[in-house]
Amino acid sequence: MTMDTEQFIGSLVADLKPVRRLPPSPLRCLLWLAVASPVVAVVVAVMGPRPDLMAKLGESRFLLQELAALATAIAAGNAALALGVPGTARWKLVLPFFPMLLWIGSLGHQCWMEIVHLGPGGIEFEPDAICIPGIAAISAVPAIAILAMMRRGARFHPRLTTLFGALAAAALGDAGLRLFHDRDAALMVLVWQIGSVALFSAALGLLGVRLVPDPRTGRPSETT
Amino acid sequence: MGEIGEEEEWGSLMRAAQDGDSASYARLLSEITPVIRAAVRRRWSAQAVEVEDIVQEVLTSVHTSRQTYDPKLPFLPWLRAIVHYRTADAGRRHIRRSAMERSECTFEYGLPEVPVEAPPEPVGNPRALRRAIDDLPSGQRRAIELLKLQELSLKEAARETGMSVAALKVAVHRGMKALRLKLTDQK
Repeated sequence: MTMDTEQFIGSLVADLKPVRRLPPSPLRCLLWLAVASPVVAVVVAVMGPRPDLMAKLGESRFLLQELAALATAIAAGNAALALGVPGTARWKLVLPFFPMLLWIGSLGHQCWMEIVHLGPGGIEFEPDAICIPGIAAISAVPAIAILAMMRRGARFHPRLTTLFGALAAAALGDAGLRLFHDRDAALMVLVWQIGSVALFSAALGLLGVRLVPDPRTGRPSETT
Repeated sequence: MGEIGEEEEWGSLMRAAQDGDSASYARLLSEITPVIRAAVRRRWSAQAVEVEDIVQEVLTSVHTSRQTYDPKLPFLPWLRAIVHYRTADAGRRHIRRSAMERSECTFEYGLPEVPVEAPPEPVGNPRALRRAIDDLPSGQRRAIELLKLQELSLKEAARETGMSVAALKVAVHRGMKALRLKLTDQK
């Protein structure tokens, strides 16, 4: 061992302080959900649930899409938090794509069925001003909560971690949005709601290196 | 002791280190350093100085990420992942540096407008020292200025910069090493 590294180890040992061990990522994800879900519920209550909510919850397609959005939020949240642990299993990072495919696939299928039954001219499509600000507003607190939790982990993949964290928050936000926003035309939901989820995730993902800086230097990390 | 026994031992030492046991931590870092060095050498065929820099970066990451180790899980996959990330980081930095050096040496558009360097000044010349400090990366420069020139304490410098005490120690250590090298070269 060179003298330099010996001295260096000495300085690290001198800096040692007890640390709180990070609980396993599923447990932390549940904690995040426990913080974020009530916030989404409050927003739904303040905005006023859609009048046909009980009937919609009885529809298998609506229920499937809501559950898939929720499962995407949970799996992406777990992936974001698991990425903060070096050596985490890769399957945890692949997991969010399954419910997400189910979610988007169900909307795509609904969209196709609407085209078949109504014809391309019968499809409802117009600007939906509430989606982008709505999802950003509902997802803000869940996003802040997961970012704060992510900062306790190791920060080797700031962009990917933030991307998963933002996806988790936005998917949870969209599951909430559909409980008070009664636009159900599949193309509208696909373009404006899923589009907003993608935009929110990409924007935060790009800011990832700034949002979860490298604790070694306090500066933006260099890795993915 | 076999690798499995060693790994269990390192897991226990890290667990004790997480609770603040300095002796266990010193032993752990000393024992894993040759393992880290060998792993870095396998991935990185560079000069010994660069290898040692990467080893120190890995040790810093072990230090700043120690809360993420779960004592119920094996220690080596956790350590290997850190070595992998830091070596990959060093590779990216190396590629960037090489690209910048290449662009300076391309004479496609004629000779580069590089001013003629002044003759080296003797060690002890404050201007040479100032220039060497100015050439340091911003984090190291700031750490040297606050801790060595302004003589602030680590805590005061940490408050001033928003960097952790560990990061400041690392930055000042690296900065001093770089200054020594630079000023010795000039001699």
